[in-house]
Amino acid sequence: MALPIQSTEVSIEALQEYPIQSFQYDGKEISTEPLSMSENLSRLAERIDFTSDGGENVNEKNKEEAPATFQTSSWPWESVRNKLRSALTETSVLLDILTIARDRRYMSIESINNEVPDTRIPLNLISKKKGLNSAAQIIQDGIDRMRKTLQEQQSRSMDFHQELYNMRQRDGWKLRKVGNTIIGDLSYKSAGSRYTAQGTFEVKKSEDEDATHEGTSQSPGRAPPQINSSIQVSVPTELEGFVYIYASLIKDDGKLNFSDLSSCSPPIQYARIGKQSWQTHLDNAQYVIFCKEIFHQLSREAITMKFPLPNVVVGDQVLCHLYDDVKLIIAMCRTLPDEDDLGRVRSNFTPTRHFVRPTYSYVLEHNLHQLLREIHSRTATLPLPHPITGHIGATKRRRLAGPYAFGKIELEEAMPSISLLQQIIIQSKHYYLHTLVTSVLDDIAKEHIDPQIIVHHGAIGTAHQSMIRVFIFNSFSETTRCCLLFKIESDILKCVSGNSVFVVNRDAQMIRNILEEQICHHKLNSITLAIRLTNWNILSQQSYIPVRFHDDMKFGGKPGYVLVASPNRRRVLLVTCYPKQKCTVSLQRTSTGTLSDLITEEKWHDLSGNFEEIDLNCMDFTHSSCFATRMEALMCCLEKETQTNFY
Amino acid sequence: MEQFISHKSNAEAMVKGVVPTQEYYLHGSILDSNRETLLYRLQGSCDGDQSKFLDHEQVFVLKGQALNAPDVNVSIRKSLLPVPSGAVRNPCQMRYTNDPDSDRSKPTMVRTCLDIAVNEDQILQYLKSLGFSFEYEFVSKGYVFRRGRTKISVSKIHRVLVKGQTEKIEPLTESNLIEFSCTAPAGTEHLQDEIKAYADQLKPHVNIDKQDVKRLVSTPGFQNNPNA
Repeated sequence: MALPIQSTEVSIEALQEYPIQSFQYDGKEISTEPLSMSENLSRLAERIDFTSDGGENVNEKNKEEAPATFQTSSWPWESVRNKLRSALTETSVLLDILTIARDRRYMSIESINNEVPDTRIPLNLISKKKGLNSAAQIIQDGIDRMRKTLQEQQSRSMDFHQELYNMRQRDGWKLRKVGNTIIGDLSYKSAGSRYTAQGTFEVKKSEDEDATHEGTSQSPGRAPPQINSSIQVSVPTELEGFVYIYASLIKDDGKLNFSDLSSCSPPIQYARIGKQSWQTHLDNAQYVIFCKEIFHQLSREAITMKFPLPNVVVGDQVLCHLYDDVKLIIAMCRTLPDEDDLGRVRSNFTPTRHFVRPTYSYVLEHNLHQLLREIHSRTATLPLPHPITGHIGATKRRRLAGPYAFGKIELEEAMPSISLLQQIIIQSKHYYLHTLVTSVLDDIAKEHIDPQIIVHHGAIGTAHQSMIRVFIFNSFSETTRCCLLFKIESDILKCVSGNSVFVVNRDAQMIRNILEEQICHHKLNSITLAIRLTNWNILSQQSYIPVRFHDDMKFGGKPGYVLVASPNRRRVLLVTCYPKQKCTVSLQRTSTGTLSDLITEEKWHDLSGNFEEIDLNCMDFTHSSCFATRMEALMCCLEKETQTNFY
Repeated sequence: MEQFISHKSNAEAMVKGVVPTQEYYLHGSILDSNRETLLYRLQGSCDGDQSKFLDHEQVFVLKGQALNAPDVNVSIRKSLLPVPSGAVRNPCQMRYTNDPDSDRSKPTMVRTCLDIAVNEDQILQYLKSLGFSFEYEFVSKGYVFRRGRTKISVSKIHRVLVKGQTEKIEPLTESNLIEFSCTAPAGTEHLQDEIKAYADQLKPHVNIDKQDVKRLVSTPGFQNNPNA
């Protein structure tokens, strides 16, 4: 059937009727509700296949769509949710895998090596050889190092660490590690010092042992000390060398010019200080610090404190006035290591005309050391028992101050007001007096053989107080002895003899006079004893009248004498004692003439006569030089002679 | 001492910063078995020798009168060691300490403390008159060291069984109290670093650190765990 072709417009549009869902029994049609916008969207969304990756599986998609359309009734978004859930699960698994893979402990992601293994053999061998070589080198290095250590251990008695350990434990050096260096402490701060000088040293492992051995082979003439130590210490340059405190008393006879003191300053000597062990090196350095602290304190006090006569501090030298004519010089003498290899002692010191090198006093140097150590121990902690709370530096006096209600005056008394310089001046004065007495006693003891003089120095004494006891006795008789006591303080010198006490003021002549008198006195005493033993009679006696002054002494003073007669009164002896002189013995001359008109009996011959001196040295008593013994013998002889004549 | 005398009154001296009022301290604890090693180490690194001490401490408290007013603690400490014949016994020390500074940034604990030597016979009566009441007492026995300005004590706390009788004592725990303490005038904060640095040196042996006693007391099991 052919229909005429007309251009009829056909409009295609959505059916206005909704699809019928069901018919009711009364024929009423129930049409479905049109899909809303969101329902439409969900229906469209159901169609999306999240698992498919593009249009590859279109057929499968169509197949899957069919059942999907039937399930829409349960929940519109269920399929979407299911798909999203599966996608989430896969994403989580992927995330877990990635996390594990990043940790690289349980899993690692590697690209699959699809390359063909390298079959080039020569290249492989070369690399293997190289690897073996480097391994061998490492082993070889290790062996060398071990061998070296073994040699070191054999050559040295102990290794570095062992020695370092001993240094801390046995020798008590304080060491600490700062960075890569080991620093030690030389200062006396831990012992109570407040001197702020730097006192650190560095400990290093010595590496120049081979060099030392080479040095010995080159110069066999010089014998360097064998130092088998793996420790090397380096101290600051200002602590190098040797230092000592030079303390001495000098007599100033008016020629000492203070302007020359600078040139009199102790010489800085340069000496080659051989290689010394680290112990000696550290000990020296510590000694340098100690001496510097002494001198530093002394010079500070000499300048700041007020003395009757001003002190002089020039260079490394302090000059103090003890008396008008006696000065105390304290100096710090240094010997620095000489850079010169020749090793000669170089000195830039030229003694001036006025500078007479005084005697060096070990005693004063020792006293100075002791004083500073006392200061150190005073500043250190107070010994127990006391409650451990409270301040460290508090002295016992300060602790007692509160409970005992001390006032300002008592507190000031407790303060150590006396300075180091004042103390050493006091001790120097004492030392001066002590030396004076000792020298006089020595001189007199040398001069006098009869009677003998024995000097006892008291062992118990302080640096500013001491005793000297002097005994005068005959060598053959202990019965008579004379005792003197010298009590020496810092300013005053006392002599105790019997019941009398004399104050002697650094007057050597007076000490000598007192001793001479005592000797004289002793002689008279021993003669008196001899007289008693031989039954002679003392007719007259005059003890020695002591003389204390120079002027009287020049004339010999008033002598002591004893006039004795033999038991039968026929011989009379006169013994006279002058100090500083020998005792004289005189026998009364008797007339030897014949009987005359006036003298009718022999007994009148003995009446009177001049005294004649007897030289006791002519007596044959070579075994004894004791005066009392000779006198005793003389009296015995005379008595015997008169008896024979008489009878 | 000179500084003390030159000032007219204590108050003036304190204002000028002469009186040491600040105490910087650290605490630690060590068991008896390890104590010897620590003592050995301390002996090597401290100044001078170790000294043995035996102190009896009584603590008195004055309850705060007003609401929230803090209690005032005062301790009286005396040495029980025998005195050499002929010597005067050192007086006992009274110490007041306030609560430590709660600043956590500081390396050590800081508290204000005042030490004064007192007459033992009269101080108890005096404190009683002021309203102080006896709180507790103990005997501390151990060693004290000195390192510069720092005082280091390693001591064992003993319980006094009968009040006032210091002969009858028994150790409280099997551990020893270690105290690093330094008293100094105010404005000497640099000392804290010194103390801390030295305490850190002893780390291999013992941990000496800031211990807040108040916090420790409130911790359950504190009594049973004395070793830090």
